[in-house]
Amino acid sequence: MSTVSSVQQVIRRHEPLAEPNLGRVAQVDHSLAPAVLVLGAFAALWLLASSLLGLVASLQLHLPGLVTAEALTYGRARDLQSVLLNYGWSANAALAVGLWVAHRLGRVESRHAWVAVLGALGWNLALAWGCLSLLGGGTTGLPSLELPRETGPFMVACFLAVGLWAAVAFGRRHTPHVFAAQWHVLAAVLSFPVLHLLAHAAIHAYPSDGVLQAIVAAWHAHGFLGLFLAPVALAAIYYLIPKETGRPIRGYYLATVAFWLFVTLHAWAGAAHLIGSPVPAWIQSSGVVAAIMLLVPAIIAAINFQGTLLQAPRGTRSPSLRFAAAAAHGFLLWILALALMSTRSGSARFRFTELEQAQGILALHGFVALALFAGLYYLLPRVTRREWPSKGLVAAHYWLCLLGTAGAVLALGALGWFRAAAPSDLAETARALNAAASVSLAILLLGHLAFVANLAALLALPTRARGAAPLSDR
Amino acid sequence: MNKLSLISAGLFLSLGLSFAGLALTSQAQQSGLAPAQAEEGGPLLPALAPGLAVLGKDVYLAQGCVHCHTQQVRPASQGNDIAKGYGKRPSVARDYVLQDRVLLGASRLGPDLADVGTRRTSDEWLHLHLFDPRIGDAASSKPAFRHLYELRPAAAAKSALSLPAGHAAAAPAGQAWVPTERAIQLVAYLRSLRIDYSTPEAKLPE
Repeated sequence: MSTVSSVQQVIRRHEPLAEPNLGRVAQVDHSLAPAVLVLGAFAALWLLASSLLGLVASLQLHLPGLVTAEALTYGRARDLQSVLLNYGWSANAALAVGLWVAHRLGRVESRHAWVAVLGALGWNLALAWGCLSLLGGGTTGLPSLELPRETGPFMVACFLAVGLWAAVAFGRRHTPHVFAAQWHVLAAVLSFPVLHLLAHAAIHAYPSDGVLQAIVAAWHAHGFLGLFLAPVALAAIYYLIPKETGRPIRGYYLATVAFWLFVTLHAWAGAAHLIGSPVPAWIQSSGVVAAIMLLVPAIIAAINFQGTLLQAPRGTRSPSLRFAAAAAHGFLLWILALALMSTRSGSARFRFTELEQAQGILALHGFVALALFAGLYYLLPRVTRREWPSKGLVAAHYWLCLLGTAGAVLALGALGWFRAAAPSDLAETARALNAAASVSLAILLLGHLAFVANLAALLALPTRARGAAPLSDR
Repeated sequence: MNKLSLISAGLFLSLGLSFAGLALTSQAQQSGLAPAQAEEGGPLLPALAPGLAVLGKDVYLAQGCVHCHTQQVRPASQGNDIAKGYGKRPSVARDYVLQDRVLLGASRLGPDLADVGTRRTSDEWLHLHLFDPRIGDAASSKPAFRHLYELRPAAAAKSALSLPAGHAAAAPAGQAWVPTERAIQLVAYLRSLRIDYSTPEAKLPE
């Protein structure tokens, strides 16, 4: 693994953490290098694996019989793909971006980076072990809780070893003012351990009866996205839009309201995935209310993000800003889709169809991943003190991501729509649209290859000379 | 919004309330649920699944079936499941009380299986369908679970699959495809999935 060894080299090069000739901000960046690079490298590897598995699964829908290996049949490939996307790429990248934003905004140096590195290694080791078990068919069958029960408490402990430093940075900050990005990161790193531990307890340690398992699993699955990944993604957008446009966030005073609505409503919105299921009716209703009310914080986010972007002077399009702006649009679309699918009539027609998959892709690829890429494109050059080797690859990544995500969402969304309208005789349409989804996923994979190639080249580059001017920090 | 303790307290409160609300209250509400008689003197239902079916559930899980098949029939007001023939009555929480893992599922690339045991009553059909789903429906996108079947000398094979003539995977002369232990368990599990009984809260239509 050349990437892994070059990560080790970079870590070794960054061993002496304090360098007197660096400014405070640069020292903060520098101190985070080990943790951020380990997390980033794992995120990149899992991203490729997950994209490849997603493609393998999708191809089987229109070319049945393509894959004969038991370990890669549709169901198993999907298990692995979703675990690697959630716990591999998204979680690692979110931790990297979250840690960096918390330390940078608090102007706090990371003092015990090795603890976070250890936590990150443990997390990814447990994930790899869990994936081997999934390859053998050892899934629990519950969405977002597929990994074997033994991994639960261990992964929470590893998460705390990494994520708690963001809370520490918040507590020890050297700045009088607190920014929206900081609350969001705090929410993410505090929510995941509670979510994961409670869900594991209710499903494995004190197994709950009957359909209660489905309620807990829905609460966890939605919380993982809405209370862990989404807050970090929003933090990256809140951080990058004003940074890169040079404009203050518009209607910033509303962000507090949006934040609290966002975290309380997402905690309940999981129940919207159970409309029509054999669970108590009031639970379904609370899910409908929460999911539709999420439109309120989404409107505030639109005032904050799109409002600021509209005022931004033309010609200030850094790669990070492009990704962050696209992620902000993706966020709005996702909440809109969630609200529509969570109405009683929307659910009656579209639940269980490909529209739900399309919504998942919109959330994870069209919002979370774009925001995390924005964060990584911004922070990695600062942390490593190197420039991205190829601007062309960054641009290619951006366009391929947009094209691939839009293509997959539209193809699967259209298929779900047709399925709801005409339940029979869809074979030809389904084959064509599934093929379109596969092409889109291949485009997405190509985009991610561009990102990983650029990242590998960045890690292989020599660090810029000591005396060189630090990267511009507006 | 600048106190770590206040923000954390707010977050934990919000998460704790939602967990208590969604999980704990429904546990309190439903913990008394047990198999019941639909009418006086009737059998207690749902009944325990036979041992072979319990083993088959692990095969169902391991093959990732849950990614394409749900096991829940929604009421007529919340979907067209009953019209599609997925079941004669909606699923209710009581149907699941004896299951140690509830696989409601979230995606229907294939049909719902809550009542599949009522619709498909032939082991032979289910085995052929698992071996090659395109035998019955040329346009099916279901994976072929051929790894659940093995070739045996035809003379010794008791329950050989009778593939249609000219099938691409036809067994060589003197040999026959027979279901492995796992295939037998899986089919037993599928046949055990039935909501063909009434419960106090969900009666079968007359």
